[in-house]
Amino acid sequence: MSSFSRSSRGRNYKSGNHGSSHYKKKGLFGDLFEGFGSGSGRRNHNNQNVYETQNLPRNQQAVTNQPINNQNTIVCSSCNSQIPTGSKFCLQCGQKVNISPFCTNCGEKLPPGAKFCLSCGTKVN
Amino acid sequence: MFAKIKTKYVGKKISSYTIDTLIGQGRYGICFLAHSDDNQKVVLKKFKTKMFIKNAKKNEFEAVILSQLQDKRIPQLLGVINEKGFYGFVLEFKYGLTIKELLFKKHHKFSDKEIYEIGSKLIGIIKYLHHNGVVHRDIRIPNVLYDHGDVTLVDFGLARWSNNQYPFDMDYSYLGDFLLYLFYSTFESTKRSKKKPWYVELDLTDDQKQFLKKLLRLEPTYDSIDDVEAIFLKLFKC
Ligand SMILES: Nc1ncnc2c1ncn2[C@@H]1O[C@H](COP(=O)(O)OP(=O)(O)O)[C@@H](O)[C@H]1O
Ligand SMILES: [Mg+2]
Ligand SMILES: [Zn+2]
Ligand SMILES: [Zn+2]
Repeated sequence: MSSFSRSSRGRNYKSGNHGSSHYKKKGLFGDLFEGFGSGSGRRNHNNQNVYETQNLPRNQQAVTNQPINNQNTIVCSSCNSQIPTGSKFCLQCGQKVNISPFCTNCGEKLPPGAKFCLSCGTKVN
Repeated sequence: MFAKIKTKYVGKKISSYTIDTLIGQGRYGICFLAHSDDNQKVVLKKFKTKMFIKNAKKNEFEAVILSQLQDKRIPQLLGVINEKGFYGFVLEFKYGLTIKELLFKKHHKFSDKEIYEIGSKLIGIIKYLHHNGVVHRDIRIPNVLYDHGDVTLVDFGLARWSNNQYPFDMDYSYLGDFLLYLFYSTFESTKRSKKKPWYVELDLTDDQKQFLKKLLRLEPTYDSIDDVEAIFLKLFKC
């Protein structure tokens, strides 16, 4: 299986000069298996779930993609492994985390209802 | 290969979920449709264990970003499973067929009206993500579900918090490519038309072509998804 690579995946930008020979084909190996077995017993009902929209960290500025590793790192109460800031679950054992809001710019925990990060000043939603 | 995976997993109980079918397989893992004891439908996205360990730091983004988003147009992260031989995420199941299935299994031809509806709804989802600092980076036909007018975007495996390394315009380029698949659904190729680019083959207005060229960076691109939305709504309304 490892010999299959998804040629189109992970490339940063799409080529802009393709035509019918590209768009009329469903793609090579990489995409071959996607959607497999989906024909039967699956979906096609109206989705009835309704979620309230929450306040979310709204941030269009540059944010770091370095895993945030500072004094705020949460340690799992169940398995003691470190949980990446912002994850709803321990990625090691699956234990649910009560996530407190955090600054998407610097990772500092935010007190409930905070409008600005007390550490770096980034505006919160 | 499928038969093997099927007999290995279908009907099996993983954590508190029972696996019903195999719904997709990619480079990083396998997706199953499953249900909980109280009959809630979920997707179990199982990672190849080796891949996960190798990419552990990268895989964190999918979990953290999904944890931070809450919108009915994207699946919620419902849990993380780590049992022997099975590492994966539990995701809210979303109804619909992928655009890829509609195009290449159902041979669906998208009308201008449908393209307008799907395009504007997908742009709405991208707008929600970008306004929350997230760039998706994998907006492709197998990752967009369509169900009676509802559009859902799945697969946050490549999503990142946007920064200089991950600018938002990556998503514009994928959006342009995505829209071209829809336009080509009604294009009948003649043998001789091979190898011509879309802007020669497709019957679009000059403004529409320019919009797509800007998305695809053949011309300087847009500043924000809000601009993309405004122009799309203006040029493709029917
Ligand atoms: N939440 C979901 N609801 C319904 N179908 C889904 C969901 N997530 C994924 N799928 C289906 O499973 C396929 C593979 O899942 P995806 O997250 O895209 O994994 P991969 O990284 O392997 O591409 C998708 O193309 C889609 O058909
Ligand atoms: Mg995918
Ligand atoms: Zn844990
Ligand atoms: Zn901060």
